[in-house]
Amino acid sequence: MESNKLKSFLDSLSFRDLTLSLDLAITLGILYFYLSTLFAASPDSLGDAAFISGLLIKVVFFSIALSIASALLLEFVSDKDSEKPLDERERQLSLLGSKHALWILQSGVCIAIVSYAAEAQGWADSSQQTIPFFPLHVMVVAFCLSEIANYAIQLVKSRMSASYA
Amino acid sequence: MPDIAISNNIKLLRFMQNEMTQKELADRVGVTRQTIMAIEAAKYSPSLEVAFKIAAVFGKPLEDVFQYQGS
Repeated sequence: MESNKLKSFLDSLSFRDLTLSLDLAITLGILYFYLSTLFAASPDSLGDAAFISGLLIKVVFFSIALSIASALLLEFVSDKDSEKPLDERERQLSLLGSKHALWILQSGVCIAIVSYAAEAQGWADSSQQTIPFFPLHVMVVAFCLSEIANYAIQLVKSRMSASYA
Repeated sequence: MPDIAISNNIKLLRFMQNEMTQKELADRVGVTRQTIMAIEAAKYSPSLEVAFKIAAVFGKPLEDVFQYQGS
């Protein structure tokens, strides 16, 4: 019974689902790496521009390397599926995912702008310790969260919902 | 349970066409097999273009393949 369910589940997976799942896993991994490095860093390191820029370079490098690796892997397992354009249902799902991703990204940018302005204008309570490069971290996290939302919404909507509005 | 007001006979028509597979139908229509699965399960309403293409594959008029259940 369970094997039948597993078989029907695997049968229902499209190349697009596989691509989205891999992209989702990669983005989750990168976000985990970024946040765990930040939380493990000492207060001195967090204020060091060289440390932060080094971390960002690592994040970009890992993103590119993992994207290339996943593209190669998918090329091997696909039956020329990677060359096919998205069909109408997949395009609708992609638009839906992008719409939600854009909201998250815009929210992140707004929060980053407000926090930068607060820091620059001295609006924040001076007794509270501020996190160095906070607007930058907000934007990186917002970018990762927007990508995660994009992939997750497409995956969930493609198999659970009838409405793509 | 169907989620939308349009039902269809695609599964039956595939069976009557020498048990055509979803993949074969998808290739002939130009969509993915998962889209055919979603249409068959009434989880996705296709565009008019895809609906006409599906009907054309079976050599049937549109209303023999899709039925609107709304009031």
